[in-house]
Amino acid sequence: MADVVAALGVPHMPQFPQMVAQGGPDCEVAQLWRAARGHLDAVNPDVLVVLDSDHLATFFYDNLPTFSIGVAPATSGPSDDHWPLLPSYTVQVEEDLGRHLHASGLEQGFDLAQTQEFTVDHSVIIPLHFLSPEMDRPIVPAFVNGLAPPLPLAHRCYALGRMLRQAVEQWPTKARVAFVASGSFALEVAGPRVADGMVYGVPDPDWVGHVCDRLKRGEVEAFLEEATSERMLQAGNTGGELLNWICLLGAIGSVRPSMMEPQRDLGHAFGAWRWD
Amino acid sequence: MSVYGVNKVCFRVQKDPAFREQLRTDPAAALADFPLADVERKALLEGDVAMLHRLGAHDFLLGMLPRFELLGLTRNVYIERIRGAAS
Repeated sequence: MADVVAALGVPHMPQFPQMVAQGGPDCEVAQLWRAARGHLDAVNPDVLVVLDSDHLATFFYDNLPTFSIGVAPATSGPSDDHWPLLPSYTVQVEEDLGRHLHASGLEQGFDLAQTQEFTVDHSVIIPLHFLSPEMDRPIVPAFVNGLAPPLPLAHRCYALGRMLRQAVEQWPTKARVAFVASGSFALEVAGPRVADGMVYGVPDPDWVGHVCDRLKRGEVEAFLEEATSERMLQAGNTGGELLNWICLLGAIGSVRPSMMEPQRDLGHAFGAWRWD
Repeated sequence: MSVYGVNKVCFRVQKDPAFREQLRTDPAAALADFPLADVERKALLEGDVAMLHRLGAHDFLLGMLPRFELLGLTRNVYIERIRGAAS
């Protein structure tokens, strides 16, 4: 049987490699990624279940799943664009776990879609680039539609995370598994609320601090009530990426975070939970 | 009106280099076969991304147009125009 050994929540700004190149190894972004990676390396998982929202690069409105599991031998990305200093990667997928998660979901009443041939965009590749750059840990992507409204309910995403955790623990392979949620809390990309002269903006930095407080204190019920689609999108057009973190919370249960570091002015935070 | 056609044009820009070039060299012809309402077609050809946003087009997909400098949209022109859609 598999064990869940850690859960990480991270952002995925495609500008991160440039920021680190310009700011050097001691800049805040570099330090936060190093700290997050340290938590992952400390528990050294074999497989990463990545909770992610596709940016209309893998899926499109012709066929747009609310929840979908990637079930394939491998994937590649970033599929959305060539970002400065971000290499293109081929990433192994733990196909058997993907198939198990998809089937377990259906058995538990989650009508999940599956995709057996897919690419991933920067929102999967950026976290892997910083957390597991040797690409020696296979992944299973669980896609949650947080970016193309109408969005799923926070309660439903939390329940999905709880189901995924139970399903991982029932996977009959001896393996150490970590969950990684990818997403910002308060970021506007290419929308009307970008900052002057910028391709992104942070319309609601206060929401970042508030979300971090909820996560630190484990205030799940109140958080799920207030994280409506309207409230999340008020914080920016990527605000629904918070659903990946909410899904992560469902997988975490009652453990308190070992790390929760906001970057208020960039609209996101880095978090880590461990079971060692 | 669904704005599906507008989103589809932008998605094709992201995925299809040949279409991207056609949109660069002959925009009206490139858009001819898409299911677009008159107001959508006009806004696309004018690079009026504020209007396209108001019609419901997805911001990320609209963002593909300045990335490849299509329909008169440089990065800075896009930023200025999309900010004009703020309510």
